[in-house]
Amino acid sequence: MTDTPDTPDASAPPALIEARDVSRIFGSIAALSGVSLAFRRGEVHGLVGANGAGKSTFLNIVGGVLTPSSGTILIDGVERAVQTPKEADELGFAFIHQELALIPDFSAIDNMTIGLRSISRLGFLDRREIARRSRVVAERLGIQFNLRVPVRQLSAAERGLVAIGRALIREARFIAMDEPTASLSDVECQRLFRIVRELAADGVSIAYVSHRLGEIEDLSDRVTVFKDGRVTGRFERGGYTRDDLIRGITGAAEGLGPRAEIVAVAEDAPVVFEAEHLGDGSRVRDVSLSVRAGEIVGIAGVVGAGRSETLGIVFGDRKPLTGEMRLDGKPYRASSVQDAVRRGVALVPEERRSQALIMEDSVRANMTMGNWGSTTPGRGNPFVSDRRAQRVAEVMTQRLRIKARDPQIAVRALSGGNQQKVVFGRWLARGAHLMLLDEPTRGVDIGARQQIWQTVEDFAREGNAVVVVSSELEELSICHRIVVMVEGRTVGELQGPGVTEEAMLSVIYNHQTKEANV
Amino acid sequence: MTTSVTVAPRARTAGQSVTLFFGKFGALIVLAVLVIVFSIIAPSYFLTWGNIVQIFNQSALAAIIACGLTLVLAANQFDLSIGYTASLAGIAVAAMLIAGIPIPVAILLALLLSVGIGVLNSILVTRLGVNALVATLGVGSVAVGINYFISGGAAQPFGAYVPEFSEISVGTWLGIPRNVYYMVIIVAILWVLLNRTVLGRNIQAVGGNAEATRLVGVNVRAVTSAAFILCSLLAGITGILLAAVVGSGQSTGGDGYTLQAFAAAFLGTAVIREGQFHILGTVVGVVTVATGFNGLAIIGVPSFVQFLFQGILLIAAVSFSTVARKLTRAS
Repeated sequence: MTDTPDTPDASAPPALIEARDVSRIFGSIAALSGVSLAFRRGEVHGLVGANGAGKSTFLNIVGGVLTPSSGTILIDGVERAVQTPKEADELGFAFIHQELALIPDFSAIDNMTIGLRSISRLGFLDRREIARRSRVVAERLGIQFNLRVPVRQLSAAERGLVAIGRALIREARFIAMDEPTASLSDVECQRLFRIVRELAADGVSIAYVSHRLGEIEDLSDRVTVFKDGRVTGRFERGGYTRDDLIRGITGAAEGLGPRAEIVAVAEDAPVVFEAEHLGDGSRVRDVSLSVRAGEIVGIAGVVGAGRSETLGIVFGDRKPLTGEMRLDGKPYRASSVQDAVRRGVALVPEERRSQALIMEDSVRANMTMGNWGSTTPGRGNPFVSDRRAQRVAEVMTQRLRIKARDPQIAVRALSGGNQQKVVFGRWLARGAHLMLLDEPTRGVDIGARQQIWQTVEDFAREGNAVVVVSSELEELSICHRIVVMVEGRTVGELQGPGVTEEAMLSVIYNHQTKEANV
Repeated sequence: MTTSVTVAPRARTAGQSVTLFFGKFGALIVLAVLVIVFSIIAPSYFLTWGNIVQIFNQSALAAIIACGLTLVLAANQFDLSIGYTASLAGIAVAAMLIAGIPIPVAILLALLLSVGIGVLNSILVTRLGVNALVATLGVGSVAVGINYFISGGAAQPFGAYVPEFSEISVGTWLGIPRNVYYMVIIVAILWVLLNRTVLGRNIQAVGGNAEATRLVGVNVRAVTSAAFILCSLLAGITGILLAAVVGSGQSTGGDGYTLQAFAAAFLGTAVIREGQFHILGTVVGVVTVATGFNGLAIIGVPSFVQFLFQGILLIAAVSFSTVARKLTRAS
């Protein structure tokens, strides 16, 4: 920690954006207190911190979404208040949020140029000029896909490029990226990193927010660490270690590096689930895997490898065309989600907000959702009892150490990690014994990640089976076994725990090049 | 590092607090204000037992159909066919009575017809994925078609054939009109259904997040269908009771209920639970509008004022509850 933040020497040109002692108070809570920070031209500036540490609040102030309670903002060395997002846009500031603000039915071109005033003449859009500028930007980003199809038909990575394109077409001088790699595969991440570096080399100032410390270390020229609305660390490239960052983020020095200790699976543990040569005629082509009681099996692969779709088949959400499945030794084929749930299969889906929770509803209602059986006095009884629901929620809140004052508060008020635990609790209360996890730690800060993995381990140790998909290969190292998928096929298996990211990647890339050679 | 981070909720500005307050209690406040104002203006008439009973009697049928609609709205769907379904049920029951079909059979068949409309709605919405707004508008038009096919657009007075049918809803028991009893019983059943049964919880869950509900193993289509079918059934009940009150089937008799029911249900979102559809809220909504109409009639204002009143009340209540919901989400 230093007390002399970003004091530029007199000869250097002023920073593009400089915040001096900026605070933002919400009621009695200081979301940001006394933050001084500068974004210079041509630098990648990493911002890290737990959820709620103040990164977003800070960027929202720069973006004109929030006004600071105190402190000043200097732009090009001149004091200036950014009052509205429109002003930020005019200053050449672009913000790429985690949930990209694209219009699904608009084409890439329309999405990139929407709201761009300079290309309209007398209120009419100059189609030719739009197309020309879009092509220039597409070339710069190495965009291969058709710019005229609606963006809803594009992959997550491609949509991310469109969002960056929107910034470039405005000739943005400052681009803030919030968790840009959250839904990207490793290969796609590499491409994004290259683009980020090129932009910086062209003089664009980039604020890069991520929970993934590896990429922060790789990309950032400087890193600023936030905790509880304050800056708790400032580092220059090469002048720090992973532990330094973690200490700033958590206040403690415990990392989530590759781990190798986990309770071993019993020799005689029965196979809970197995699949042979599964295929659904599209993304899933030939998947074979098995998982035993007490075992955590990871599925590694890049986005589009068919991992989530494989989970979908097991969960009865997609119809298999080929292959066999067995659950608890009996032939298994779920014709619907209800079917799978009845057999004790659970899915923790990829998108917590849209697929797993009713955000406005209480912890209790979310925990017992669809499981009203646990809250009725008897089987087949159509009436529910709030008292029973309360008991279920209280037991699970305690068991999973969910930080919620009481089960009646809305899940919206909980942190991402605690929300995820509510989803877990729902299935634990239901007695599921095969848990399918799709990106269980996405958008969750480091402390909560450890807790979520602990929950998964505890669940497995009780004799249950877990299959987990994660794009963060590093995290999968804890799994007992890892199945590698490439383009809809299982191509290899690695015995864990402690499989390194490199080992997984080498299997993935070896097979991808083979596929390409065929 | 942890500065004075208190657990207390963020302080809100005075304006926000007022908005939140109105969003939560808006309809109740309006009801209270109406009661006070009318009591002062017409003290000898408004706050009498007879008039209070009258207000509830005027609310009864609208409350039944509006609570049915509330089930559909709670599932985050729409049903614009309810008024036409009510008209159709009234015409059908009257025509069957005139044709000499026994009363219980006629009622049963008219209810079946209403359920048929609900089934049609639910198939279009849950199986074919047609937008509920368009689907129920179209089905409503079909109901009008069947209605005119049966009636030729003419009223169906059954009084000369089966005058005893009117006794179903005309008349009192212990001094209170029968329709008020029907309202209380049906509202109670629907409240229990929506709040205390598995089906009701599932309807609310579907309304909250259909995809998440599907992924916990709930049959979302079945739940949504149940809401549509129950809604149509209740519209049918309303239409039959209306025919009994009027003494004849009227081909457009129930049409106006669509607007009334929507107004009441949305007003009801500004009662206690901001922004959520719920049975008691809807009942408060119905009673508020009925109180306003009743009081305005007593004062003797022209009837167009009643519609102005209903419209402004609806807009104000929904605006407040919408803003209030945004505020609660932001915090």
